[in-house]
Amino acid sequence: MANAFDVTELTFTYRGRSRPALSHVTLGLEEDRTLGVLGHSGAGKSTLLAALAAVVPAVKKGTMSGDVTLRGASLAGKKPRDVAGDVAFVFEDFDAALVATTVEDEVAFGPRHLGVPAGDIGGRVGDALAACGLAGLEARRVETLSGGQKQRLAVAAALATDARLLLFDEAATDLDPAGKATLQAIITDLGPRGRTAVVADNEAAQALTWNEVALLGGGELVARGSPLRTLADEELCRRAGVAALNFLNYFERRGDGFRLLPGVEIGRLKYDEPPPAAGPPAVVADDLTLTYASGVTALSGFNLAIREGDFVALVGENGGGKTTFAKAAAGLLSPTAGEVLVGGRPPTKLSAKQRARAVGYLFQNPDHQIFQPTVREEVAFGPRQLGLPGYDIERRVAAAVAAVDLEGREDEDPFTMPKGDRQRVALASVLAVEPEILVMDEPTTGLDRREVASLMDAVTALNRRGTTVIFITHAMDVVAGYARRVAVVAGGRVAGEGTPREVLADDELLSRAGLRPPVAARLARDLGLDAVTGDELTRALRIPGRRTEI
Amino acid sequence: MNQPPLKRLHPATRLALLVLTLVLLTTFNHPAYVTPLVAGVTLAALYLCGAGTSLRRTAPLAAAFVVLSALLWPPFIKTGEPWAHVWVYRATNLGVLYGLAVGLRTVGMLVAGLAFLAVTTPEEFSEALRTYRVPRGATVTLTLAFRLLPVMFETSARALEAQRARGLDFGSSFLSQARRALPLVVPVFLYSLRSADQLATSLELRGYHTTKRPTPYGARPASAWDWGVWTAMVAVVAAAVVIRLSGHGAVLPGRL
Repeated sequence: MANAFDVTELTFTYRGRSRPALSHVTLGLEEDRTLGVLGHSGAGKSTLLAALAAVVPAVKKGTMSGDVTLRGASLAGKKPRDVAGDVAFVFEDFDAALVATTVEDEVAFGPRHLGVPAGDIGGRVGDALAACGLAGLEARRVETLSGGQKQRLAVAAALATDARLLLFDEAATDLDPAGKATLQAIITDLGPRGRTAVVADNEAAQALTWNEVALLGGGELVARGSPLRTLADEELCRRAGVAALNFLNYFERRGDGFRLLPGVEIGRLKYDEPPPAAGPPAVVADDLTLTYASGVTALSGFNLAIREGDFVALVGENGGGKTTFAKAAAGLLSPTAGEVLVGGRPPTKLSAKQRARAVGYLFQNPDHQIFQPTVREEVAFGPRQLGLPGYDIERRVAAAVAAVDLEGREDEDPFTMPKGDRQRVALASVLAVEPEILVMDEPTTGLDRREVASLMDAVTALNRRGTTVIFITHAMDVVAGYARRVAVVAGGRVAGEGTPREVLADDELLSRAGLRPPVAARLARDLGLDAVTGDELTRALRIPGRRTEI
Repeated sequence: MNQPPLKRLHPATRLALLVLTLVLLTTFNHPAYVTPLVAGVTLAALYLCGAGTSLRRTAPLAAAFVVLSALLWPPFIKTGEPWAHVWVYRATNLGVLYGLAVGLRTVGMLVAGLAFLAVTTPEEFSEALRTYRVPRGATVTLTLAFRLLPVMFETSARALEAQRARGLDFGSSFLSQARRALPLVVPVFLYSLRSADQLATSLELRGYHTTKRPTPYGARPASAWDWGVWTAMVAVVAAAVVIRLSGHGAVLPGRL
């Protein structure tokens, strides 16, 4: 029987680029299997998926050599419309790929255009919506859905086409941990239902449940094998720019979970926990209620106090109110009732300049923020608005660019940079204003391991110099690795707060907010440890006779 | 959930009703004839289309438009008895009546349009256009434009927020706001370009083809009710045209 797909010696270079996005990649996958494709930003993951859908080279032009076959049939000369019905694609930018105005019409679009008889469409739509947890929302207008709901809608639309090969290009980026778990369950269930899936992702932990993983680095296939052994290999993961799950070297797979290898000893750990911030309150939300013009109440009785110099993660379910609170703290939204104070004053009462100096806001999508032709001008925009003298603007630009490690790239056009670099340009442009408080809305979404570390290390350095940092995230490993304090937001209010270790140990609180601890914390807890990061867990485990470097 | 009565009609019937209502409103230019028509359209919008929310939002604009029209048209109408003369502003009684009728008529058209939008999704609009044999490429473009508009508004709003967060003061005057908002066109334009590119790929991968007709889904075939409403509306418009041609319902018979 032919494989679901075979890629043979595939090399592809985008038009106008000198370096190939994919170089001599050979990869095949049997039917009814799930393959995770991991690698750093620009590793070639999206290009590989695009080649499997005939998007490359038919739509995204370039030079291609090698061959791609679907179930034995070559895609040479084919267009995406020729594989429609056989291949379904869930894009990273799911919002831009949604075509209809209501949820039901969106899911029905594929079946209708693929010639599915009218009598069968309703069933397909209902099944797909139920599988993605969207049943009951059939009549909702697409633009009124939350980001997470739209992402699930994109998946439902793909499922409804009944394609045999489903391609997921970083399809879980906007989902909360519970949403990611739901998507994982949907994808895991595809194999037994006779479907093949290829899932491109940055997060190694997401790939543990797939049948196989392939690591890409610099456009080349670095490795392919079982998730457990491949993702535990430090060297392979380093070449692919993926965070290795070193601690898995001490485990073996058992059913759906993992079991400690025989003979592994469990040590005790001492943690160097940073002391809680003790400065005066930087941001205080007192019984804050905020209702949008649409009538949706995003915050109701929201109470939170953040002290100067703190490093706080806001976590919680999609639509829980995290972004609304952050925008209220930045003075971008006005409370309906209650109050939010920044440095003792309502931010909406401050002038634009005072507000910018008090709170810097980094948006999730850097493309909504960047608009200048060079990095230098982009970073200088904020200080110019403050009316600062030229020498001070130059000093601030230099300092901000250095803080995000973009020195020497000041004259580049930010729009041509990779997403991780654009995010750092956006951060530099906020830092140049030298705000007392830095608020970041999902700053690590879509970034690879190196980019996440680079961004968060820069922010940590700022925090050490006194900047109060508040960041919203769904990445629980980033929370565990960087935050000093965590506020769990659910249903428009703060459901609980504490140190990362305290919060990640509180199952009831996490479950209420649609959260799950990172895989290292879950395995650690099974062993009676309170480690929350992979490094901590690795330090706690030891195989007798093997020297462990700490 | 209760559907507004007009929602139960076939989309093609709703589109025909809209077009015939617009024709009906342009038949007369006398306020005594236009006012009951506008009142009828408004009542239909409220009780047959459930367009109350959008009508309430636009009511101040509509009222201002009627007043402005009644004031601005008279200087261009020389016939009739002098009615007001203030410095260079001259108005005749027929000029004021005509301006009032034009203002009311335009408000009636606005109400009809809002009523249509309240009961018709872009997909239904597309289905209606297909029924009247409008080329498929045009109908899909129109549907996608409806879909992308909110995305562009959202992108614009976020771009504005991002610049406000960096200290950009948009000022209070319209001119300063427009001047400062100009650079924001860049991210919105780039995002729209990227979106359009991805949308085209997404459409292709989901089987869209300009020459292939999709399976009808959710659209009921036209019923006897549709034919009845269609016929009744054509009869009303025909009667209105006959009344107008017989010399009634016009302040200025030579004008539309």
